[in-house]
Amino acid sequence: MTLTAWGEHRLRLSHGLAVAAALVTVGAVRVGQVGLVAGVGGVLLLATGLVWRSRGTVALAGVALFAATVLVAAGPGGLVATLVGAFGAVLAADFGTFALGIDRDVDPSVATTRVEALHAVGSLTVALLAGGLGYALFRSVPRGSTLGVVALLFAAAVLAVVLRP
Amino acid sequence: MNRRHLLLPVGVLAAGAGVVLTLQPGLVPGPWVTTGFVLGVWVVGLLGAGVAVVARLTGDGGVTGRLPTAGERPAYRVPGDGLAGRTAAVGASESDAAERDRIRDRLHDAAVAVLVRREGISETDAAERVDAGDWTADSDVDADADADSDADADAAALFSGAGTRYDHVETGFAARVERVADAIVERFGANQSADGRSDGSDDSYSEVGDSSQPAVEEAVTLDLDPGEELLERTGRWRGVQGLALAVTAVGILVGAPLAILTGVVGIAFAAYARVWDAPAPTLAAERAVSESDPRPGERVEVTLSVRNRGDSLLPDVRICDDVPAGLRVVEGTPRHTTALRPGKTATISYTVEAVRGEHEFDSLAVVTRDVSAASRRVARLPTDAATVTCRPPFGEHSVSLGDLATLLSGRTEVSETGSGVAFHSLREHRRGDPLGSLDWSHLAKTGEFATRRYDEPRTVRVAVLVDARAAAYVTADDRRRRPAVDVCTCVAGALVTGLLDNGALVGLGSVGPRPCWVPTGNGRDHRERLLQTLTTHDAFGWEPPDPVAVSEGASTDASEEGSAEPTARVVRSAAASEDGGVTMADAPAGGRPVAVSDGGSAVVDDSAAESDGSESSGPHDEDSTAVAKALLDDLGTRLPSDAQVVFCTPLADDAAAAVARQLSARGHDVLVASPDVTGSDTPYRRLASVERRLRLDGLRRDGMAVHEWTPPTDPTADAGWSA
Repeated sequence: MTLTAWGEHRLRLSHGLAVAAALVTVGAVRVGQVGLVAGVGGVLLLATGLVWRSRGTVALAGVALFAATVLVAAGPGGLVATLVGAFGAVLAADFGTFALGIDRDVDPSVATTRVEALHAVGSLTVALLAGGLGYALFRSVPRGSTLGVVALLFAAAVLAVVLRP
Repeated sequence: MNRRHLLLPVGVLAAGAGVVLTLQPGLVPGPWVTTGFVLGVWVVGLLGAGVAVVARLTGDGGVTGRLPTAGERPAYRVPGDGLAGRTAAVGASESDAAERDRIRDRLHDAAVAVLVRREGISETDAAERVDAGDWTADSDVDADADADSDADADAAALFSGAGTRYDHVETGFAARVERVADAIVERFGANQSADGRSDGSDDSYSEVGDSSQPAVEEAVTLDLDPGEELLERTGRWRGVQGLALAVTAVGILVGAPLAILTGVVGIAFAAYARVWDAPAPTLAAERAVSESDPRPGERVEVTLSVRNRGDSLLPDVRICDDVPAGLRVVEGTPRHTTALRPGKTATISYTVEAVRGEHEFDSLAVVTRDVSAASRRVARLPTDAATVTCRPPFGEHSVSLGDLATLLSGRTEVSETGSGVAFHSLREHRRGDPLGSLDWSHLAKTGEFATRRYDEPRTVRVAVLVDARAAAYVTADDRRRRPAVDVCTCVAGALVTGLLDNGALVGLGSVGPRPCWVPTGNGRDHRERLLQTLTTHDAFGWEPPDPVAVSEGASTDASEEGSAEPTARVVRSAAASEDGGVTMADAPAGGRPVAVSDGGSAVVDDSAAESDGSESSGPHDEDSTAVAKALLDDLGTRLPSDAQVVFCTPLADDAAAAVARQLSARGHDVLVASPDVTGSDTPYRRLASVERRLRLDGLRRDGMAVHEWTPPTDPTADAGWSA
């Protein structure tokens, strides 16, 4: 991968992956106009955050992309678009903030592709596994059992809190 | 039983119910139970999400876990910046009235001292004129009467509070302080300093605001000793989890199953964040330096190799070599990030510019993260030591004894008589006097026996003292960062060399909390000992003796209170210790000394009180004297009673002047060698410069010889001393 100087910044792998994930989200939510607007806003926020090196702005971009996904999910969106949009939003924020963390800790001259690639592979793997699980769960659950799904999510959240070290 | 033990059965029950209800939707209980459960989840989800999202959005400014910065010198303060900071921070409310009064008193006393010096009037008269608002007009040059009138009005408003205080609220304080500071400087006539340097126009000072210079980077330090490490959570995924919970809650409320599904995201990454902890930094480090004895300014390449000696992958390891204070990295970087498989090695190299001192590389900072970056382990690893010793060529700039003698206020009287050759006097002959000492001419004239006495040849004994207190770690250039202590140390080296070359007995000491004393002596070994001491002794190091005591105290307090223990902290200014606490200028001969307050602490050295510059005790000359006595408590007993003293100090505070006076009062001939390390690009810095000049004048009036000069800002240069 070719990395080029970007002012005093260095264009890193994670920068590109963050933008790519955000664009994937926008592609997933394009079926709804409101969602599309929010998604494009999220991409712009992400780009701004990366240029300004503002982690808060990048996190806000993730929120905007996630909100776009939810808006589409509550409206015309399908199952795949919802899962792709949601995980794309999270990954965009994840890759973006990771890139900014590296920018903060090392000089532009330092190549960090290996670290970024490892982190990206980890996050992508989790997204694919969880997305597949969510897809299977949603397809296999009979209609009218929303309460069961809620109970499972609640249980998972509680257990996540309990099991934290 | 803690919260976790209570929540565990709740989670298990919910999971079981979820599985059952998912597989058997017909078992869903009545609508009230369903509605209550859904609303409960909704409320919990929304609250948790709000807290988590807010924490995520606002929590990225912390420094915990940040890789420390390295390769830059400590941020020494420029005299006057502390007053600027205090003035900017002080509010208009009654609660800040005491601080405003301290600042007001400092300016008032400075104005009085300047007027006394300028007009030659008594302190009382000067105070009356300042109080009356009739002091800024220069009787000699009054080219801008309107400006003087404005300054008078500002000063009157500042000192009396007239027209600016309403119900204990004072408005426009900072702006008036700035204008009055400028008026004081103008009244002093400081536009032209003693050496003819015009304020703001000197090359070495104009670079302060030069935009081509790199900005001073925010410094992050790591508060861990070698061998210590700390595991902590980054909270990286907290926002995602909270957001997913919130969306799930909304989905439940509006009955959108797909929106509820997005909760999977939060759960998935919550679990991901808990799978691993950051791995232990199983690293072996080797370091090599290209030159261990460089000359000042010479470039030294440092090569650091770290090898993963563990059995597992380090997916994210960030290292920062601990570059000793004083050394600046001029090429490459001491920080690196990589992933290391077992047995693999990463190598970095960078170049530092050598400056005076013995610099030991003996540790490096490491931050490791797990692959999700949800946890990190911060550590400081000890390494084999590599030392770079840089000794300036002190001898190339030595000062001859003859030159020095012209600067000393008075050389020690040679009152002893003995076996010299120069005639001293006659006395009556005593039994046992050698026959050769009889003065036959006197016998012929008077018929009485008399014995000739000759001057005993005495070697000059000089003690060179360097002001190495925290207050002396000031610089005129906050970008190049050369502290006055380094300038004074280089001057001391030149003096030591010159004096020894001329046969004097020379001793060396530091005035400060890190004691250093080398007794007077001469000879080649003694010379080597003195120069080595100036090069390597901790007392003359690049790190102030008590750096940012306030920050350290704050972090200690935070730890004691059980809050998150900070592992790194931002040092925006190592000069939190500001303006040295006490500023004093002397009235003309016969007048009472005028104490000029900077509102700081009376204790100006190694106590924490000086560091915040906000000690409420009023500064007085008695305080400075007490500080000086304390500083000389031990050193004073070591100084030979007949030693002349050369005191190298930037005179950044009153305690330095008090030390010189104390030395003089103890019977030493004192020469004060003072580099000018004041700035001139803000009113506060110009005011600090005026206060230093007042101190110099006071010392001169007290009969001490003073030599001042403007040193170069480049720390690889010599001190710019010229006799």
